[in-house]
Amino acid sequence: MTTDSIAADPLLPGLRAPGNRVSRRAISYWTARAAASGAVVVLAEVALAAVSGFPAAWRAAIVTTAVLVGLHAIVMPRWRYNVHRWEVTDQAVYTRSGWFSVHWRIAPISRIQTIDSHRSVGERIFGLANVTATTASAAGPVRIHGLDRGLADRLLDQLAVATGQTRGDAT
Amino acid sequence: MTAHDVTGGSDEAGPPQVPGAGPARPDRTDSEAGWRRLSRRSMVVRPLTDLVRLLPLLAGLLILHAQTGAGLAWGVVASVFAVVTGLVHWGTTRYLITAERVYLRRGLLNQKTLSVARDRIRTVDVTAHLLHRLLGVCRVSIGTGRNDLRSGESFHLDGITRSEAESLRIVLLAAGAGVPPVADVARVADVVRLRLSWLRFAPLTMTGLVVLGVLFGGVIQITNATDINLAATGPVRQIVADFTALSVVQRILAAGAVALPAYMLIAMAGYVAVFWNFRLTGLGTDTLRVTRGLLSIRATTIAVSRLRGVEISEPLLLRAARGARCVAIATGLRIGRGAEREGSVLSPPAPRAVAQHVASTVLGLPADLCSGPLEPHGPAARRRRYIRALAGAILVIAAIYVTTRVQDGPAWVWITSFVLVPAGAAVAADRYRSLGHRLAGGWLVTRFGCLARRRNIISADAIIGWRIHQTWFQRRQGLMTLTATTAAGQQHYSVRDVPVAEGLALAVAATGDLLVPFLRAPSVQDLSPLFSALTGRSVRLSQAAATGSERSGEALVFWLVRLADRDDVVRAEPERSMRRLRRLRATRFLCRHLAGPEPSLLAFPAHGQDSGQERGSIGSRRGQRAHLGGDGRRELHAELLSSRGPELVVPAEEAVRRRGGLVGEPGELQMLRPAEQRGRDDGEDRGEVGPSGHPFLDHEGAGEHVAKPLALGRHHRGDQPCRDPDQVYREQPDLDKRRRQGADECLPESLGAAIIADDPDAERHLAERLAPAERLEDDRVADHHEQKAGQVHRRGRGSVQVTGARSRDDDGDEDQGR
Repeated sequence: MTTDSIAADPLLPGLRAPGNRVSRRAISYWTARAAASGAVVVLAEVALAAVSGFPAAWRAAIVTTAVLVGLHAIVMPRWRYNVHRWEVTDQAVYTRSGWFSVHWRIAPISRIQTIDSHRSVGERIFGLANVTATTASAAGPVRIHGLDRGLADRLLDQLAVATGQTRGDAT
Repeated sequence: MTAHDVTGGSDEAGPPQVPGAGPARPDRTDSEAGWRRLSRRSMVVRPLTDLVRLLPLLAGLLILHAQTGAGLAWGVVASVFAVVTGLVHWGTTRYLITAERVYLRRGLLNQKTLSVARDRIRTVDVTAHLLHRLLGVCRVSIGTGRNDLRSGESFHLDGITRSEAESLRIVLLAAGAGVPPVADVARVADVVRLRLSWLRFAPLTMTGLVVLGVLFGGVIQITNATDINLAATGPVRQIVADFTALSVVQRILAAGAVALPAYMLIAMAGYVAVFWNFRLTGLGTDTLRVTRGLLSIRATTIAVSRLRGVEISEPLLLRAARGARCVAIATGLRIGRGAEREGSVLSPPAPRAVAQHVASTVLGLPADLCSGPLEPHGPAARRRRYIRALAGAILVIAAIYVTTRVQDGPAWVWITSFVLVPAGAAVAADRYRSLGHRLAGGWLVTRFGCLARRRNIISADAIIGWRIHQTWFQRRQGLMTLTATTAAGQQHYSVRDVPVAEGLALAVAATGDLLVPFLRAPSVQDLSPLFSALTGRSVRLSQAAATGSERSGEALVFWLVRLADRDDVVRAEPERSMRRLRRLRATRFLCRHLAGPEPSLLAFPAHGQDSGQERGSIGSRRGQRAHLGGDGRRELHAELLSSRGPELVVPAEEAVRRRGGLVGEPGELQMLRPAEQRGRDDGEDRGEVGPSGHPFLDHEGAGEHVAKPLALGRHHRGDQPCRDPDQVYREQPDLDKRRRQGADECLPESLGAAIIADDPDAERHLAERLAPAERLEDDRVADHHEQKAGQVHRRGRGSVQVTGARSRDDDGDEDQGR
């Protein structure tokens, strides 16, 4: 389940995992989020089924969906927690995210243009925040999800200082 | 941090919000001094174009009026409104060019001031449609590095005179390129001009379809507005009646006979309208100019310094006719669908050779980058192409089968759908053939696609980050999609389904050491089979768990690189499988780029405590040994000792710092080193190793010197299991402190710790000794192959051991090593 390195062939060089994990509370957050969105689907199904008086096919569909949603809510957050890592050096921001598919992102500090922190309602409930570093490329933002709030603030400050040192138009 | 290039300061009559404006910032309350207006002649442009846009509506209202007597008043109101807003727009637009910025102000109630720094101007685009041309004015758009994809604020001046536009273009771009404008005019060289024979490519692109769509849309709009039912009119009804009278074959023939020539004519007309008089000119060495168009003329000027690459695109039909087109990848120029409507086109659909010529001329590239073969992505990528295409085909067939069964449709429907299988296979084969990448001379070339094949050539300097994506399936196949992000063109360019090691090697080679701190080299354990196979010696590589085994792996990789360079070694491989060769090639490639062309001397780190873990051992393989021969072996050692490269000795701290990440406490390291040594060279190892105190001269075992970074290596690695957030934070690099140490002073090594080169003096010293390899590496890699290959010994601390070597027990080993 874990993906410690990108290389399938151990003989070949691969990418190492970034140094830091995200907050453990992120697991609860992801679980809650998955459960909530799953519940919406299940409730919609129930509502539709209620209109036609709960035929057998609908009941089967509802049970199947509920099982799948539950599995997703249990498996995905833990898997995700194993994958999500981040690291900031004086040269670059390096992150790994995803679960079934894994994304690595590397953005040099010298090319970072803005640094934002964002907290959705859900994240605030769980005391989390995410940090986004954007570059001149529309395809280049690096997001670190599920950080502890205090950590995110300090990281934001550090990154702001670091990026302030570099000059140039960063394109 | 950089400010945005174009800034919309809105709000009513507020001061122009110009972030970071220089001293030349205009005072808004000042008189109109310096602010210039649009041309008087262009006063009618905006009202007229707005009226033209209103035409369908007006026509509809007119007909409505004729039928019911109402609606005329609305038409008048709308027209008057259009005219007034157009006039207001013209009347309130002002622009100002200062030494540093260009300002644009418009709006009556909501006054808006845009400003752009002059040194951020990438392109100047001059267009003139029919009305403009009648009035002798044009529209100037200024492209900046800002990613315009989502911004509603474009910086344009609609309706200035042609001469003014021309001088504006020269002034603005000269500032951007930093070259006096006079130089431009002198050296004008045509890169490419349209030839009429290229019209044959017109029907093979989407241009014809686009024109058709526009025509169709226009007709629909008019019929909707005028409430005419086209199908009910006489001529249409007649045609439909005639058509239905024909047999099926006749219908197809008739439709083909009408539609095909019509389509070709329309496509050619579209091609002519867009690309008429197409001319790509180099103005001096620093600007490119594209002019084109029949009715509406467009002249785009691109600063070469802003050009980050080119895209040679070959849609399937165009490719079949050996055609291609060329599009610029520049910051400030959009690439979107229908790129010919944007300013980035560098060559119209033309023979492939023309597009390639344009690409190589414009970027100053060697021709084979634009046309030559690329590195294939190997069997796994090929397999993936087929699996994806065939799985898609089978899904569609299954869907068709189920539908026909449910609907009780005829069986031939789903049976014929099996034609999708060979079609899918053909597409897969073509997609694999298209797949490729290459890196040469600081240019990254990637190619992908079947229906729309594109070869993107981008400058490695333009890459401002990497994205690596691996789906679960890719992970199993050892593939990944490597995406370079850039501020130009499509913002991201991918190398798809590239084998992981090759992709990483490519990224490392393209962006220097951005990626290096995040690489993981193979571990000793992983490498031992390959090591044995290559050397023909029975070796045991032990997993030295206590000290960074990965670093040992890196050292071995370097050695393997040297071996792999030798043809006889590669030939000696028992299985000359593609896989192994590719692996070697990738490893070699990676290491070359990490260490420069000459990894001079390799030391095998040999410290560490016996982990007690399982260790692999491989028996002697005499068959392979024969290939190397006695002389070959000596050569190998000579190679290991020869030190032609630059000084690569790197202080441990420096080496670890280069790897980035978290750094352990130096105090922990000393525990890992032999007690006798600890006292001796503490001070020296801590700092730089000067020429006088070279590690090789001071200590006899190279490994001892390496031990320190190796030990450090483990502490900064991030794979340790969960930590609490506070601890994580403490271990973050202190950005401030480390910046002072500076990236620039880094030596051209990257894996650092494991490479130790020498100054000439040291080389001489070493060369004078007998059995250098033995001395150098102590008995950890000894070369007593003439002795009987014996059993493998468990060593306490060695990483690489050779059977048949003198056997000592662990304690003796340490003593003699001193």
